[in-house]
Amino acid sequence: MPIGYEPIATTTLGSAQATVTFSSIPSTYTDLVLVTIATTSVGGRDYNLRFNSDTGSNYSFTVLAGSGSAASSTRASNTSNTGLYTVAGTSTSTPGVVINHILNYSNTTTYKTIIQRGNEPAGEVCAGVSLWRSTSAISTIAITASTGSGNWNSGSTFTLYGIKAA
Amino acid sequence: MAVVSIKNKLRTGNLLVGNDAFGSTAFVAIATTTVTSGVTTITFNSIPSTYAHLQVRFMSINAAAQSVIMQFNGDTGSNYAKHSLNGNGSSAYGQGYATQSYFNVQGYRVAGSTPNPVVGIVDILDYSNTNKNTTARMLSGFDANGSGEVDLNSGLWMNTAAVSSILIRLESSGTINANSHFALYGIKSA
Repeated sequence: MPIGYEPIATTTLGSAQATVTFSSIPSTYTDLVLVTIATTSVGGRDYNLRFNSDTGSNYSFTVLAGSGSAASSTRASNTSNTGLYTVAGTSTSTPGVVINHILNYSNTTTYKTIIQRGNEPAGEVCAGVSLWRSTSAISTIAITASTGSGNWNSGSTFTLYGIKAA
Repeated sequence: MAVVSIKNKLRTGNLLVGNDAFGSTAFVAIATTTVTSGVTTITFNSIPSTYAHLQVRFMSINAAAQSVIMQFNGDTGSNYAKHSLNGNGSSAYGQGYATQSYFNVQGYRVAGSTPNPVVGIVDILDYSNTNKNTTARMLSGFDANGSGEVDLNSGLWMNTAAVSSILIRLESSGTINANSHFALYGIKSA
């Protein structure tokens, strides 16, 4: 019976850090799922992914969000990382939970599209789709709370899963 | 910076956020279709009824500006309903339709070109229960650096039969191009 869903790696922070990186990701899966349960040192931060250390303006994203009083949608183009707004958490007691689905991450024909669900109970619930304009297989994922500011707090957890198709 | 070496296949036992339900033996790959040349339909047949839920994960490169739709058991009658919550980058909006002949699993009408695919995940819950109709939920999207949409959809099949086949195609007409990928998984209960 083919096993479809496997944990690849987990890290739980023992101290605050700006970036968490999964490297040497094997290309043997079909999809990747990245689950983040995290708080940040600065409230209301974005949730950002960067692939293969690409710092160029090769990313874009579209977000749908509900704040508790209104629904909204926004977009950014030619960014230096993917973005999912204000789900990173506001304190150690209200972690943001983000699940990222990185589909067909190792194919070398298409750009990489990521669909995301973010839940930050003190702030908003959101869904997002992000694009990385590269046909390279993804071998490294760096996760930051906003660009250039904010740390992930101690106790934040990041887990990477691989899904194998039949 | 924390760096995790995946070469060592580390696993430290975090089973929060439903991870336990997606344990390695609970999520089973059933079938996969990788499109090598353009096709008009993708079909998964003879789906066993031994799982609790089904999940379809797809990356579709659409030759025509059509959304991706789904039908069950060859039923082309007006036995479906659908709702969606969509974000197109400037506004959020909802849609609902009753008495449909299919439901949409991805809403943005775009001729996705290589290398820009549309992607989605479809959960078909309690698909083999013959006491109630079948409901599916979807998360899907497309982004092309300046355009795109993210969609949260639901679909209803008003039939109590167990789902044994799934058909996927573009909404009106058109080809699903090469390099598209559709995978079916079964999720077991305890």
